[in-house]
Amino acid sequence: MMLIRTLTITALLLLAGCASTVQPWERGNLAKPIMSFEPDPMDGRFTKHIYFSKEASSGGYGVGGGGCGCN
Amino acid sequence: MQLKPIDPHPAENTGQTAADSSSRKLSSADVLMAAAMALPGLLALPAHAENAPEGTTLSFKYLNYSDSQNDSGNIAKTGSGSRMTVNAPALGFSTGIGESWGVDISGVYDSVSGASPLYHSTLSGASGKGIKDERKAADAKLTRYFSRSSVGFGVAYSTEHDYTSRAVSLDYRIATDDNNTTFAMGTGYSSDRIQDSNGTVILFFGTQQKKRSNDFMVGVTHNLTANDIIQSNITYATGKGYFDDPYKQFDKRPDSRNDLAWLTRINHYYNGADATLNFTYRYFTNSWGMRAQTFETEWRQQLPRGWMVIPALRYYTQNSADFYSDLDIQNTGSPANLNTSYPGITSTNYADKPFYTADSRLSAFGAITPGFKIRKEFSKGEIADLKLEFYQQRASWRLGGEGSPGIEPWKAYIIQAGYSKTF
Repeated sequence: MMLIRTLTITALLLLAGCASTVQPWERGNLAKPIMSFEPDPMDGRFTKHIYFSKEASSGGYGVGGGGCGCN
Repeated sequence: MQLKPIDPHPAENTGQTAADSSSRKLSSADVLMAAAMALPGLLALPAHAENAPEGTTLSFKYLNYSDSQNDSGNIAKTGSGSRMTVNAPALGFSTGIGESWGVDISGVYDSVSGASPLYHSTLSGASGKGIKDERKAADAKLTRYFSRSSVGFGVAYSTEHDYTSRAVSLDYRIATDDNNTTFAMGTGYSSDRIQDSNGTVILFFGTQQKKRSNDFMVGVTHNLTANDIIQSNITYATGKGYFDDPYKQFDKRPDSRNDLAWLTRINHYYNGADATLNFTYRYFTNSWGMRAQTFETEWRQQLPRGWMVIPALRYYTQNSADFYSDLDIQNTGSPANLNTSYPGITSTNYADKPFYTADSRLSAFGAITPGFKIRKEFSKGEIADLKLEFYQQRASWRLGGEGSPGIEPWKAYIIQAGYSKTF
């Protein structure tokens, strides 16, 4: 049920999001490197690895990392 | 499964298609668009929604990690409480091949030494004396870029003396016509082998064991305004096989686990300050009855001469697994007891339980990490950075109530130093 609820909310978020239109010439700030969600991939990888080893939860960022004996 | 991002440069989604118009007859709209493109700050925008990396980037990162926790089995509370130390150099390589292909390769060497608790926060005698291990891991990803979409294929390999993991992944991204929204979907598979170790004592272990996981993700990245970008991803991972921790006493877990994570993050750009505020929220739940929430925020402040400072704060909270057993405080304090009676499991309920664990990572706790990063960009694409974090777990910091009793607070210092150069 949680999954269905989550998907529904995300779908609504999407629909709401589509209503806004940022014009191409308005995207200068959005294209700056500091606006990236992963500005330093190696830092992100180490950090996720540490939390993955020391906490019960993981995921949400993407797919394909593989396992490790640390957890 | 350890998950890694499939979307290292989502800001590139903000790119233009107007610059593609050179092959068409110029209309007045094209001229207007070209004029808009010439405005300061817009020239560097990618011409496609999906772009191969420009140039080649080599990066190096060094991690130093050390944690500490008082030993509950050490009544006198002597010693520093020092536990694990990790030193890990990592190398990364990223390059574009023409305009249509991208290659990312990285490798890491972890050197781990120290001790981890036998159960709860107790080291218990000889078994707590510690381990020494090394881990080598590498991954590679090939991405094909199209005008509005991309397809990525990745492989990953990780090996330790007692654990080997092989993984593959496939992801697809596509942008809408106006390039304001990008949809992402992906799937991954990993096959892990847990083998008997040579020399190191694994206490509670049978023959070689296996674990297999599939994971799936859907996500969307959207330009909300000229200064706000939002991303929301859902990942679902389903695993089967050996989930026990062979180094822990009295650890018997189900042979399957399904994890669901929903992550939403937003970046806001402040024109006046030339800074970005990031906020990330993740909700997590799994088939072991665990629920967890993560709140993260960071402020990326650009400063003159290529400097940047990034203060950050993270709060994390989780409840305990259905089969987690609390510490029975009356039973502890006598190390001689420990091999014959399990603290927290009494004779009345022990036999009835199909699954049990005293792994504090499956207990209820909260955690806080303040962090600070400083970064300097030199000319010619050279970047150096240093990041310090202090991570602390406490049962009492769990959101909305007390955490699992009897676990000592746990602390870690995390230092990362990096250097990268783009040619």
